[in-house]
Amino acid sequence: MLQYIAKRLLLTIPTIVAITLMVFTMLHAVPGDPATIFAGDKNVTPEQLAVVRRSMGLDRPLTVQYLDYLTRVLTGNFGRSLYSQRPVSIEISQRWPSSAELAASAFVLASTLGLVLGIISALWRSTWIDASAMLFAMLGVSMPIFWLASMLIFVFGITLGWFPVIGSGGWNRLVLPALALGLISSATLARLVRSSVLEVLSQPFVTTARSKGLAEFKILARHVLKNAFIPVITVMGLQFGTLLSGAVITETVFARRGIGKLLIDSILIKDFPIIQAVIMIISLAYVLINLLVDVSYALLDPRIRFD
Amino acid sequence: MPSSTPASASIDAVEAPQARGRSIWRDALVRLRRSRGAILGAVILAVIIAAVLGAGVLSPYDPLAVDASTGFIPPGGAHPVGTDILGRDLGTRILYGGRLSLMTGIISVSFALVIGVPLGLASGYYGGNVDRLLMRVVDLMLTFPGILLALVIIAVLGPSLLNAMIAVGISASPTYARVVRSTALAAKTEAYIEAARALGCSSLRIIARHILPNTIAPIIVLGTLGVAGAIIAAAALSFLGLGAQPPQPEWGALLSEGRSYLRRAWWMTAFPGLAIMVTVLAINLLGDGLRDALDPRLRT
Repeated sequence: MLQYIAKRLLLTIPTIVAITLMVFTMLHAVPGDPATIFAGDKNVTPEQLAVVRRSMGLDRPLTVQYLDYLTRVLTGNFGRSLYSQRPVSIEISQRWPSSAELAASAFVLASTLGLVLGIISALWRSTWIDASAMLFAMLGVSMPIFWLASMLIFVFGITLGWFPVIGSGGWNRLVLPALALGLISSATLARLVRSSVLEVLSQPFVTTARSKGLAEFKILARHVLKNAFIPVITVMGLQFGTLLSGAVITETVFARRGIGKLLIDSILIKDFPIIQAVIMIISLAYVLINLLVDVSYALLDPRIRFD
Repeated sequence: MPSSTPASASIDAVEAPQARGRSIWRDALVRLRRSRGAILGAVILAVIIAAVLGAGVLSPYDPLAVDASTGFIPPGGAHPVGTDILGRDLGTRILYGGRLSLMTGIISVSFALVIGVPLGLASGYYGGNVDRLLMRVVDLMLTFPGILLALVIIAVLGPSLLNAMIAVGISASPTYARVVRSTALAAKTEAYIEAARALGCSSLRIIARHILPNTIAPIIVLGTLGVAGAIIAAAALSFLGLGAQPPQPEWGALLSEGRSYLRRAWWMTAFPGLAIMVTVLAINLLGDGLRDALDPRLRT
C-alpha cells in the first residue's frame, strides 16, 4: 500500500511541473510585450518599458526567469497585484476561506443528493420513481448554473425574502450559492451512481447472495454499494474540480468575495500576478484532491494496489 | 495513386463489405427511432433551429432597435416574453441570439474536432513514442477542469466571443483525442488494415480511408453531446463578460444583462436561461439516444 502511495506521489510531480510551466508561460503567451502588462494600459515610452523589463527581470533568458519564478512561488511569493498593489498572497488568503466554505458545503449537498437519487432510481428501475429522478438529473445536467443561481436569488431572495441575495459571511448567505452549485453537481453524480449500481446488481455474486437467502438490505449494504462506489469515488473527485470551476460562476452571481470572483475580476482587468496565482492554486488543489481520491480508491479496491 | 490502376481497384474491394457497412447504420437508425428521448430531442431541436433561422419572419421587431418608450414591458400581448430596459423585444433578441449560441456550440466543437481527431488518429495508428508523447500531453490537459483551461486561454487571448469558442474548443479537444485514439487502436489490428498495407497503401491513405470511418460513430455521439456542453460553457463565459460583448444578443450575454434588473424585470433573466436549458436538454436527449444506438460502449 505504501509503495502504491509513493508511486502515485511520484506521478504527480510531472503534473505539478507542467502546471507551473503553463502558469509561467501564460504571461509570455500574451500577444505583445509582457512588459506592457506590468506598465499598465497607459501610453508608455520605450525607455519606460525598458525600465519595467529590467526591474521585473523580463530581460533575462526564459529558463532563468522560470527558475526564478519557481523559487518565488515555493516561498509563497506571488508578487503584487497590479491593481491594488497589495501582495497577491494576502489577497488570496483573505478570499479562499469563502470559496472553501462554498465548495465544501456544495460538495456535501451534491454527494448526498447524488447518491440517494442514484441508488433509489437503480433500485426502482423503470418505475416512475426512476423516471422522475432521471428527469431531474437530465434537467440538472442541461441547466446553466448561472441561470439556476439567478432564479434562486429571484425566488428565495427577492420574492420571498428568505435569504440575503448577495455577499459572503454567515450561514444564511451560504444557503443559496451552495444550493445552486450542489444541485447542478448532484445531477451528474446521480446518473453515474444509478448506472454503477445497476451494473453491480447484475453481477453473479448478487444472485448468489440472493439465493443464500440474504436480506435485500444486507445485499445492498455489503455487496452492492461497496462495489458500486469504486467508480463513483473517482467521479466525486473529478466533481470537486467541477465544483471549483462552478464556484467561479456562483461567486460572481452572488458577489461572494472568493478566489473565483477574484480570478474573473482579474482576467477582466488583466491583473496577471493574481490570475497566475489563482490558476496555480486551483490547479494544485485539484491535483491534490485527485491524489487523495486515487489513494482512497486503492484502499477500497485491493485489485488496484496489487496491480 | 490514380484510381484507375488495378492496385487501387483491389484496395477498394478490400475496403469494406459495403452492404454490411450500410446495415450497421440502418440498425442504428432503427434503434434511434425506438428511443423516445432521442425523437423528442430531435423534434425540439428541429423546432428551435427553424425558429431561430426564421427569426425575421416570426418576429416583427428589430433585435437591436432601441425605443425607450417600450422599456420593461412584462410578458404578454404584443411582447410574449416582455421587453428589456431599452425597449427591445426580448423574444426577438432570444431568437436572434439563438443563432449566435447554436453557432458558438457548433464552432467550438469543430475546433475541438480539428485538434482532437488528427491527434487521436496519429496517436492510435503510429503508437510508440508518438503515442506516448501525445497521450502525456492529453492526460495533462485532462488534469485540469475544462473551464479553468478555458479561463487560462481567455486570460491570454483576451475576452471576445471568438476567443471564447477557441478556449472551449481547445479545452474539449483532449476528450476527442482519447476516444479517437482508442477506436483507432482497435481498428488498426483488423485484417483489412493489414491487407491494405500489404497492397502498398500509404499510412495517410490507410488512416483516411480505413481508420477514420471507424471513428465516425463515436465522433458523432461525442460531438452531439459536446455541442450541448459547448453552448453552456460559451454562455457561461459570455455571462462572466469574457465571451460575447453587448449588444450581441448571445444567450449568456442576454442573461448577464438581465441579472442587473432582476428586481424589476425577472423575465430578462428567466427566458434566455430557459432557452439555453431547453436547447441543451434537447441536444442531450438526442445525444444519449445516438450513443445508445451507435455505440453502446460509451454508455456511462
